[in-house]
Amino acid sequence: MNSSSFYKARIKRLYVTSDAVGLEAVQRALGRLPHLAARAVDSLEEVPAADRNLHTLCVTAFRGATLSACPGTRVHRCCNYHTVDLYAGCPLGCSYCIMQSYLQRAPVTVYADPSPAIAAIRAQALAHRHLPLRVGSGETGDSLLYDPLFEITRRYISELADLDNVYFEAKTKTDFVDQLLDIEPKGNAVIGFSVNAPRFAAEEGASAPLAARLQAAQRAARAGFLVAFHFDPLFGSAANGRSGQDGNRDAAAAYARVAAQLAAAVPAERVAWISLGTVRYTPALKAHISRPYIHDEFVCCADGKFRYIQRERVALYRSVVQALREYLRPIPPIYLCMESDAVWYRVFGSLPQQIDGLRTLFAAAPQRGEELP
Amino acid sequence: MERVDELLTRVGPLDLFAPERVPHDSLIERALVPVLPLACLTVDPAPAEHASFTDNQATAAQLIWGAPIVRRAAAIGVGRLPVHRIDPVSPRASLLLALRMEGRIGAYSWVEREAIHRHAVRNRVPIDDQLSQLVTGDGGFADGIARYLRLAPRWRRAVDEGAVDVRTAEVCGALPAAVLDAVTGAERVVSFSNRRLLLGWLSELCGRDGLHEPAAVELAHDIMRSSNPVEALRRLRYPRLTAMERRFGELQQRLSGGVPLALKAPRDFEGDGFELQIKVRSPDDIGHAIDALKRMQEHGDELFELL
Repeated sequence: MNSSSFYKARIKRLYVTSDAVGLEAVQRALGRLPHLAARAVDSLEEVPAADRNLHTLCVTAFRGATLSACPGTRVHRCCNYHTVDLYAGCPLGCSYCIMQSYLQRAPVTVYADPSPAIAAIRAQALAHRHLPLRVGSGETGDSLLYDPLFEITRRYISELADLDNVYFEAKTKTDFVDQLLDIEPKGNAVIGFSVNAPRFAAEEGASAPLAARLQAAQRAARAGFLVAFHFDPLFGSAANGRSGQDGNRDAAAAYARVAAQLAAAVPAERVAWISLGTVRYTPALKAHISRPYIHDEFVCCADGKFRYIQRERVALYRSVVQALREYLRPIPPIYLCMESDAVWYRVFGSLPQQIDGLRTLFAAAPQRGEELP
Repeated sequence: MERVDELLTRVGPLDLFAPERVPHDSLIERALVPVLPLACLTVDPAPAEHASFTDNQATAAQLIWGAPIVRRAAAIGVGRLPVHRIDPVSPRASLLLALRMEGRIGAYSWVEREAIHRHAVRNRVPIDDQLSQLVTGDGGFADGIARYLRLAPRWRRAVDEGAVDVRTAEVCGALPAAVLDAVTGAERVVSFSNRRLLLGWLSELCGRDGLHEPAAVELAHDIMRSSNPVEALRRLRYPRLTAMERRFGELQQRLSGGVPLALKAPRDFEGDGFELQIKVRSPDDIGHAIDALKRMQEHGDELFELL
């Protein structure tokens, strides 16, 4: 995946709000996009309707909310992840992306001034120094897709490096990590990679191939970064054209091979965490997915999202966890993303708060007025 | 009051509405009907606020609303109806007035909505929030009608007839029309919601199994001939889940051994346990229930492997 050719092919228009023009990150990006004439606007509302699509990059200073708790999901276990808005919108085109259901006809927006978010993270971390604070910038967009242009992630990493309870994660499906490698000190910064079996590459649009992502993880780890892996979404049987137990076995074997490749690429001690989540969708998202896997057997879970039948999810999780434990020593923290207590018990035999290595990750900072744990 | 034969010549392009709500003949005979608005339409979409109202313009005035009342009055021989001549209005203002007079927010059929939309487009009336509120009661008129107009003719007809909703027609639009015919035209009448389910599952089955038209139509006919189409099709769409349900049913029967014991699985086997309810009427019943529980304990693995 080459960033220059990607930007040339994908970015057709560039709008910059007046409050962002003077930012260093914006000036840097403008210099790296000589093929584009940036148009100045007072606010993003001025972007014409015809340009409101993923070929348009809109750059503004920052959004109102600076640090949010991951919305998680009703009823299911939340891992107390926090998010900051760096990018909203993503042109990679993953077939399962939830953003398809609510970011239609929207340009990619870059929030180019990280100062308020960094200040909010610092305040939260300093208020609860004994608790780890995991913060990611990859909830509403890929953390690193445009980072070679703007290099905003560098500021997050550098300005949080002195806080030993902050784990800032840049999560990506690209291999665009090279602009980060020379950052010193890195603190607990984590470069997170979503990974999937190559047979499901068609579901991930223009994302980098698995091998390229793992090579990028290797470069990041060698440079001294912690890395993380997100096996999310895991596909089961029908996604590969085979249904039922045979299909599930095929999928499990494919993910075991990914685990082996991952272990060969990165030393286990550099892996901060690994998350697992099976493919899931909201009713609104279903209308946007026209891929064969949507015709597998999904059931409505307590949070209103559709997932594979519970026992099939459990089987898939168990097989991936087993493969990861087999290949990675020491075993890094492995957790489930947005899963029920029932599934946690069946996969791990206990809830995250009872598992060494996960207990602190899942410990929530107290809300205002609550006692510290 | 204006002569009805004269009013018939004034019926213009705003004749958009179905005649279902025309007042009873006895009311029309006594001219107890809403006062019918007559006005010239300005060519310029902007309202002609300062235009003077002259006799000459009045003769070119159009009936803004109430054409079905006028037609009914003519049919039953009523000579005159009350009218109100108003200043020239823009196409937008006339359409908004007609919609206000009609007063059926959120109750227009798709055919009527299409007529309103066509009229708006022809007369360059923007479909803004005010217009949308008068038609659908929300801001969704433009989006809804665009979705409706994108449907294939057969599916649009099904929506017009109330056989399916737009959403189902969109989702299932790739199904051959003959499949839709098989479901909507079958002797067995299924409820609206079951029809949605059936069409949705047929669509997903065709996608999953790559069924072409002849096979899809045959499947639809087979399903509609079965004693319980929804159950029959669900078994095909969810073979693993329905197999689990059957398995649970067998276990339930075998393990209870005739004891009035209700064993309930979580919905779709999504959960961490089963619920048990036992009714006992005597000490003997308690003994039988304990036996049944022991059987369940012995075969617990079979039960819990479903979760």
